[in-house]
Amino acid sequence: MNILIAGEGGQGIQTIAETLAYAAFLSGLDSSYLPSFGVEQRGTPSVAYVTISGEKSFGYHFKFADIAVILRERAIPKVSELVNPRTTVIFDSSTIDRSKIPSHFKELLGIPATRLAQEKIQPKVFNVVVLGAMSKLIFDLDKKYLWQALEHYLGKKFLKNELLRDQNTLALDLGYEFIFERHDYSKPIYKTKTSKIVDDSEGKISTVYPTLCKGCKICLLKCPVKAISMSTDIGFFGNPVPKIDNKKCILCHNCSTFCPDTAIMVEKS
Amino acid sequence: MNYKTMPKCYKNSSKPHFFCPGCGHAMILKQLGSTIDELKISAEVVFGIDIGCSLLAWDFFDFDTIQTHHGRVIPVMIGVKKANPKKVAVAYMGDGGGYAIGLQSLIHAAYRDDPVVAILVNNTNYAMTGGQMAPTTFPGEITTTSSSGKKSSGFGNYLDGLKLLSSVADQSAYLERVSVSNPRQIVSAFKKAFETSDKNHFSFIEILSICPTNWKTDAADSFEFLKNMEDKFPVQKYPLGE
Amino acid sequence: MKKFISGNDAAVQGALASGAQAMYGYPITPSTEILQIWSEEADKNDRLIFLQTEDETTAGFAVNGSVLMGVKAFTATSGPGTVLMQDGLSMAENLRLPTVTIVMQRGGPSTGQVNYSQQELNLAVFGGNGEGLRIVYSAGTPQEMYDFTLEAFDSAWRYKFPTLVLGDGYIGKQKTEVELKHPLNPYQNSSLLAGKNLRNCYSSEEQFYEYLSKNILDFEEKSSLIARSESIGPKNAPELIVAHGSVFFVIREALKVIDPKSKKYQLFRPVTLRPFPKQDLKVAARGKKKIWFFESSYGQLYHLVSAELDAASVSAKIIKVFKPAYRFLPEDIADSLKGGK
Repeated sequence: MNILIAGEGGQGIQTIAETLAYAAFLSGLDSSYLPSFGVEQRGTPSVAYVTISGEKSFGYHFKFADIAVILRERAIPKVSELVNPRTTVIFDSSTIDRSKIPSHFKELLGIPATRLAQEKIQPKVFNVVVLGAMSKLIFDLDKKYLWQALEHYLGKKFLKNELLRDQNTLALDLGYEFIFERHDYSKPIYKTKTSKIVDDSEGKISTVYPTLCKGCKICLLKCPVKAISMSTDIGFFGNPVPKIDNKKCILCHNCSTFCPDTAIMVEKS
Repeated sequence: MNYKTMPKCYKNSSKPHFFCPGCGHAMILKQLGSTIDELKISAEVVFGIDIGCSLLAWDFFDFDTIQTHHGRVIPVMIGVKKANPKKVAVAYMGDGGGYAIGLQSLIHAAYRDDPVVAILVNNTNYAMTGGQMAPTTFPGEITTTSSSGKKSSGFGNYLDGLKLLSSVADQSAYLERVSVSNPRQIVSAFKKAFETSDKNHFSFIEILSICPTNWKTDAADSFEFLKNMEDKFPVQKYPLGE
Repeated sequence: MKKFISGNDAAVQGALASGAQAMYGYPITPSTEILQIWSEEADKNDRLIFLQTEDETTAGFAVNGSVLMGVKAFTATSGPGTVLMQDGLSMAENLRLPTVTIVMQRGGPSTGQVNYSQQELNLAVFGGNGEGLRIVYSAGTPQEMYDFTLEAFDSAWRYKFPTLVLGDGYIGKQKTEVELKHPLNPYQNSSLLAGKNLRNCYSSEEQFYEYLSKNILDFEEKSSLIARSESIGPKNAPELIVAHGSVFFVIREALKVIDPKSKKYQLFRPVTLRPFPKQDLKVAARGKKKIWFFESSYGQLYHLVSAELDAASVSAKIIKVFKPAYRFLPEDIADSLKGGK
C-alpha cells in the first residue's frame, strides 16, 4: 500500500509519516518511509512517501498513491500528480475547501484535524490526530504499536514536558476513534486568506499580506508598544498572521523593518 | 500582485521567497534591496551567491544574479569585476562558504584588495544541510554534528573571521561586522561597502544572523542567542576606532 | 607568420589571436609558461586581464565569472591542477559557459611526474559530476596547440560548451616552427548574464531532468558539427592503429620506415575526444583484421573507443600497447608492430 502525506513544512508531516512506517514495522509488516527533500528547509510543501506491505518488497517513490493525505491547500498540486481513480484521498476539512480537491479519486474522506486539535487539545498536535485516524483506516493497526512508535520519536520531548505526552495521547485517541466525513464535510473555517488585510483607522493604515507572512512573530517581539498580536486569519503557509492595533501603534516601523517576509507595514493615513 | 512593502529591485514573481519563517537571510536581503534602491545602482549590480541557504536567493532580485558553487562566489565575482570594472560585484555567502570551504579565496581577495563587496551571513551553523557544526559554532553549542555540544579541543574554538581578515586586508579595504538586531546599521554598512567598491577597493560585511529552524528557537530565543553572538563576535569596524 | 616557439607559447598566441582578453591561472609544470607568457603580454597591453590566483579552483571559477560578462577567458593547468579545475568546469557545463581550459598532461596519480602522460583524458572528457557536456581537442604538436586553441575558442562560443585543449608536457615545452595563421572569422562574444537570474541548483528531479535533457539533446545535435578525426594510410589496409595527441605523430614517423608504401596500416586519430567522432571510427574499423591501440595511459583512450567498436560489432583482433605516463619513440612503435603480438 502506497501512502502519500503532504502538507506544509513545520506541520509535523515527516514525523507522522515516519511514525506510521515504524509502527507498521513494529507490527511485523514490511514498511518504508522516504521524505521528499530539496534545497529548502522550509517554504515548500512537505511531502512524505510511506509504503506498507505484507511481504518483503522494495520501493521508495511510487507512481500512484493508494492513500493520499492532504493537510494544506498548497500541497494539492503535488498530491494531484499521484492521485488516480484507485486513490482514497484524506483531507483536513477544517482548512481546505472541498472544491479545491481534484475529483479523479476513488473516495474522499474528510477530517477537520486543525479544528479538532485547536478546540479539544492544542493546535500543534493536529498531525497526531491525523496519524490516529489514518492508521485506523489503513490497516486497523493495534494502537500499542502506534504509541510505541510515537514514543520512539517524541520520547525525548515528552521527558522534557509531561503535558505533551498527555496531549499526544489524547490526539492519537481522538484520531483513532474519529469517523471520517464521507459526504457531508466540515466547513473550512481556517481557510487561507489571500487578500491583504488593511486597517485604516486612528490616522494610520496598517497592512498585512497573508500571502507573504510565514508567521515568525518577529514583529510581535520587536514592537515596543505591544500593538501586534496574532489573529485567527491563516496565511499562505498555514500559520496565523499578525494583526496590528492601530490605536497603540506609534509608527516606529520596527515591524516592517524587521519583517523577513515584507508582509507587514504601517503608514500615516 | 504589487506589494508596497517590497524594495523596488525585488523580483515579485519569486515571492513569497523560499527562506524559513524568521530567517535572517530574508531580513538581510531586504536591507540589501533597499540600499540598492536608494543608491539607484540595480543596473550596475551583479549579484553572486554561494551555496548554502544563500543559494535560495538566485532569483530573489530583479538584477543580474549568478548562483555559483560552494565556497566559490568570490572567485566568480573577481572574474566578473575584472571583465567589467563598471559593474558592482556583490558576493553573498554564509559562514560555511566564507570561513570554511572558501576561506582562502576570501583571504586572498582581502589581501589583493579585489574590488568586490563581500557579504557574509554568520548564523553559526551549516543551515541548508540541516544545522551542522561550522567554524563559527561556539564551544558547547549543539548542532547535528556536535550533538553533545561542540568540543573546542579538536574542533576549535570559534573563528573570528573579521579579525582574521583585518590582519591581511589592504589599508584601503573596508571591513565591518553588523547584526540583524540593528537593520539600520546593516544599511549604513552596505552603503559604506558600495562606496568602497566605487573607489575600487575590497569591502567585507559580516552580518550576525538568526536561524530559528536549526537553532530550534522562537522569535524571542533567536534574538537572545543573537545577543550571545554579539558578545563573542563584537559588532565593530576595522581598522578599530575608525 | 612563422615563429620558433614552444607549444605553451603557441597556446597563448592562439588565445590572443582568438580575441581572448582574460587569463587566470596558477603555476604548475609543465603548463606554467602559458601563465608566464600571458602575464608578460598583459604587462604590455592594458586591455588584457591577468590574475595569478591562490589556487586552480579559483582560476577556473574566475574564468567562469569573466565569461559570464561576455569576455573570452581561459586558464591552463596540468595534473593535480586539472583535478581542481573540475569544480569550475562542472559549473560551466551546467550553465553552458564557453570557457577554454588548456591542459598539458603530466604523470599521475598524485604529483606523479611533471613531464608527460596521456592520463588526463578521463579528467578532460568526463572529469565532472555529470555527463561530460564538454568539447575536448587533443593536440599533438606545438602547431596544433596554436590551431586547436583557435578552434577551441570558436567552438566554445559558437556552441556554448566549456572547451578543453589537451596537450602534454613534451609538446608544451618543445620549441619548433609554428605558423601563426590568423583566424578568419572568430565567433563573437557577448554577455551571458545581462538581464538574467542564473542558477546551478534545482529544487526537484523533475525540473533538473527537463533542463539537463535539453542540454544533452543539444550536445548530441551539435556533435556532428564538432566531432573531427584524421586518418592517414589506405582505407582498405588490413590493420588499423588508433592513437591520439602526440603519440599519433610518433606513430606517423614510425610508419614512414615500417610501412613506407602505405599498404599495411591505416592510422586513425580522434581530433576531438569529446564529442567523439564515432562515425569516422566505425568506417575506419570496418573490415580490419587487427586494431592496435597505442597510448601513454592504461587504456583511457581504449575505453573511450571500445564502446563504439562494440557498437560497430568489429571482429578484429584488438592489440593494446599501453605505457602509462611513459613516452613512445618511433623505434618502440616499430618493435611493437613487428612483434605482431
